[in-house]
Amino acid sequence: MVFALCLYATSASAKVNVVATLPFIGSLAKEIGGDRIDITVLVKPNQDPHYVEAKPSMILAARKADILMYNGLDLEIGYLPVLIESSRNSAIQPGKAGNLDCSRYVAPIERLSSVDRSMGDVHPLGNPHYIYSRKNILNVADGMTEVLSSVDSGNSGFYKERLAAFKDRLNKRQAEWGKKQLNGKKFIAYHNMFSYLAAEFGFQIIGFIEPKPGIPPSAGHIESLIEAMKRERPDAVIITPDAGKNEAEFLSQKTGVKSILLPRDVGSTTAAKDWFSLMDEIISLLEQGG
Amino acid sequence: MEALNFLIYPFLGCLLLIAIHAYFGIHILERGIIFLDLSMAQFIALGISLSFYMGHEGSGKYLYAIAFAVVGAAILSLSRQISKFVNIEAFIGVFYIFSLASSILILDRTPHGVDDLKAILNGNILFITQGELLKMLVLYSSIGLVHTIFRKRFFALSFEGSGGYFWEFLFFLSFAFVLVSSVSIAGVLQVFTFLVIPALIGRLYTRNPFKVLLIGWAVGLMTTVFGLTLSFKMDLPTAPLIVASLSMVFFILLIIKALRTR
Repeated sequence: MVFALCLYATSASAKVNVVATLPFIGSLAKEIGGDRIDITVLVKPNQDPHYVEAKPSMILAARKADILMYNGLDLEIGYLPVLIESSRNSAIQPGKAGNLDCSRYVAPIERLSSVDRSMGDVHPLGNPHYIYSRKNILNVADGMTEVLSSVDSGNSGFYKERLAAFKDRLNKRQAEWGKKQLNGKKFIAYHNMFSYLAAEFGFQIIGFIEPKPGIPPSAGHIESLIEAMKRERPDAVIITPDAGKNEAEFLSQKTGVKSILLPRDVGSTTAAKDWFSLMDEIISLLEQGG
Repeated sequence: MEALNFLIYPFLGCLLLIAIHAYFGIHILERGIIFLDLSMAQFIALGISLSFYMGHEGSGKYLYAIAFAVVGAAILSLSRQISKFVNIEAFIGVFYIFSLASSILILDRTPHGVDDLKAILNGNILFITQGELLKMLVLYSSIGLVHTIFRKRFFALSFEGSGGYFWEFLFFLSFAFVLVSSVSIAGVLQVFTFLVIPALIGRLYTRNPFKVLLIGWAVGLMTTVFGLTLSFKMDLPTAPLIVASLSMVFFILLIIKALRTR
């Protein structure tokens, strides 16, 4: 009770406390919120986003949060519901303005009907890795601005200006990215992470090393993957720092196809400082590879 | 003040966990089946994998968990008979790897990844909620009550090997029920620690089960308070810090004991 009062008393002058699960969400919030918000990011850049090792600071951050921003589409299902509950912070409970599921503003691909579920996909709500989709990220930025403006209405003009600047920057980058020659390229990926990017840039992912996260592929799967690689000559095998290095090396020895190590999130590599440079890095690595 | 406010649930959770696990630890150590908990937890996880395969997710998975707890208890109640033929700890190890491998094979044919299973086995004490605490309190005190009333029978089982299949089954079944709840709340690492280390520390000083329990509770509790506080002050992951602290206390007391008896 005392705590709630303190929060109320200071919120008029202090910055908005934003807790973001993933680094790119924190980066986008920074684009819109600038110096009017304080950001805490829970998951480390090269960590599997399905898990966090619970530390006291996470619950403390969630307790103080005015807005909790997360990826959604079940990506954080392993820890976020319990974190929200144990924070006992009413502002970020589901249904409240401070509970921002960024996927609300996303048009998910690979959404499955209940019939398809038996085919085996870990994400029935759709592919959660829209981080690499400029179209969806644009909508997420809109949504963030909306929520920031409603929680902190005094600064809504400021947020809208920053959104306009962000869109401007994105359009300019988009023109540059459009010149990159990715159209028609073929890749093998470790997990199903890059489908949004493939759809928007016109390249193909022709196979996955590990179709289900955490379950080792069957011998038959690897054999047919090697055959497909020999037949279709993909440009490269895409891996991320958290998984796939040994497997890609093995495939490369069998087929001669090189691998490309892509940053998976903001901060994965020193070059990927924010969402824009993350995309720059991924797109130019894909263009060079193969 | 704020630290106290938000560490109070994890603290109460640890309190309940130590209370029941240190007790079971005495039995487990006496019987020499240390990895029983990992094995049993994994077997229950196999049940949950099967619930995914059958499409009975949601609340249905608890029925599978309970069913597998019962079956697992029934199998392990034969441990005295099994130990006539093979090393019982090795049998429990095989039981563990069989359960783990089968879970992976079953999950391969479901829409789930191993992530879902890991989430079950890697509960986190920091995220414990009020509802979970209440459930733990009810479950542990009912099991504790049964074990207090029939303590002579249960201790006769572990210490003298006498008692018969029914009591043996009741022992393993109550242990399985404790595990279903504790592993999903605190994770296998912490559960194993609370099970084995307090009882081990107690056994450094006495063989009287009641005194072992008192020493185990006291040391376990003090170390947990220390671990929780340090985890808060230094912002380190809570469960591993409690586990490391309790292990360190055990090592130190062991060395002191060894030097004294030389």
